[in-house]
Amino acid sequence: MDYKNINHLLEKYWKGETSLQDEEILKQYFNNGNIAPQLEQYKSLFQYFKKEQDLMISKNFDKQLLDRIEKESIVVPAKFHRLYWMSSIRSVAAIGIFLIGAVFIFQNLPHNKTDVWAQYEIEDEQEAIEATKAALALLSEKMKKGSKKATKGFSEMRSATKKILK
Amino acid sequence: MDIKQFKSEIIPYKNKLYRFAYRIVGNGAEAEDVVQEVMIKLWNQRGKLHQYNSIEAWCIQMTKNLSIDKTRSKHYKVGIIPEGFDISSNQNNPHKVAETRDTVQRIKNIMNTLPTKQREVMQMRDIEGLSYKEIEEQLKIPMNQVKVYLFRARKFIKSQLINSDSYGL
Repeated sequence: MDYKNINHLLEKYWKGETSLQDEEILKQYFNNGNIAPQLEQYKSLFQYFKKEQDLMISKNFDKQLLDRIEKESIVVPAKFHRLYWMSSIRSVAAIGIFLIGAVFIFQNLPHNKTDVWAQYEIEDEQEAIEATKAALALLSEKMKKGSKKATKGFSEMRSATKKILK
Repeated sequence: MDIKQFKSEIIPYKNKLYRFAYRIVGNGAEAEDVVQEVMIKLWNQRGKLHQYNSIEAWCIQMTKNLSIDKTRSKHYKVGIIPEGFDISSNQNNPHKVAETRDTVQRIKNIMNTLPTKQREVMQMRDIEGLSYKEIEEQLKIPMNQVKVYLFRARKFIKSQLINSDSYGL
């Protein structure tokens, strides 16, 4: 490309108006020799870009990285599986203990208690009447005591209310 | 993502990330360590990679953060020509080798005087060949601002080149 066109591209470049393709043309021009003397002063900049672009990571980088990934991948799943199985064993053990406990408690529950109480049931009619009378008499006595206390309480409340109202 | 996909989709970013890290840490071995860490983090998060809009942008961001952490952890020197710097095209002529090395070092020094954002934008555009849209995504700054930074950076570089030429540097 001739000086005129390159100079035009360069002017656009300084103004930030060039495309990536334009900039590639400039890089090629300044890195291929035969540079117009008027443009020599800008050569170093485009040479610098080219040299920086050529900067590469070392060739054994991929191998080192993949080796490290492989090493770490072996450790991580092993740890994961161990923990996984440990937690599973714990769960199974907990369920087992719960079931054994449940069976033990169920077997020892007093679920035939009604049958046990049934043996004390009074079968003789007369005896049952006597027992019922005695129970009612006890209840009546307790209720009398209760109503006396309630009456006393009411009368005290009444006198207290009168005093307050006076 | 399996190892095959990782090799074909992620590992190809290595050189771009290496250059990016190198420009911050200024040392080839350290830059390589940073890139390896970034790749390992990506591998460990391979199940979540679909959540990112741009894996490349995420890689660049991660590289930047880890590189900055490296520079904070010890004294370092930027602006040295890397150990593996390719000067093979001039190997037959020792004067040419020295000249190219000086030239590159001079531009590197000028670039290092630019404000960080301007330098990053210029490196992404002129070295990595990224579009304005890609730079916008990776640096998370509006496209107009990207263009402004690039314009200012190039203007400054041009003035420095003209000045150094006038003084015969």
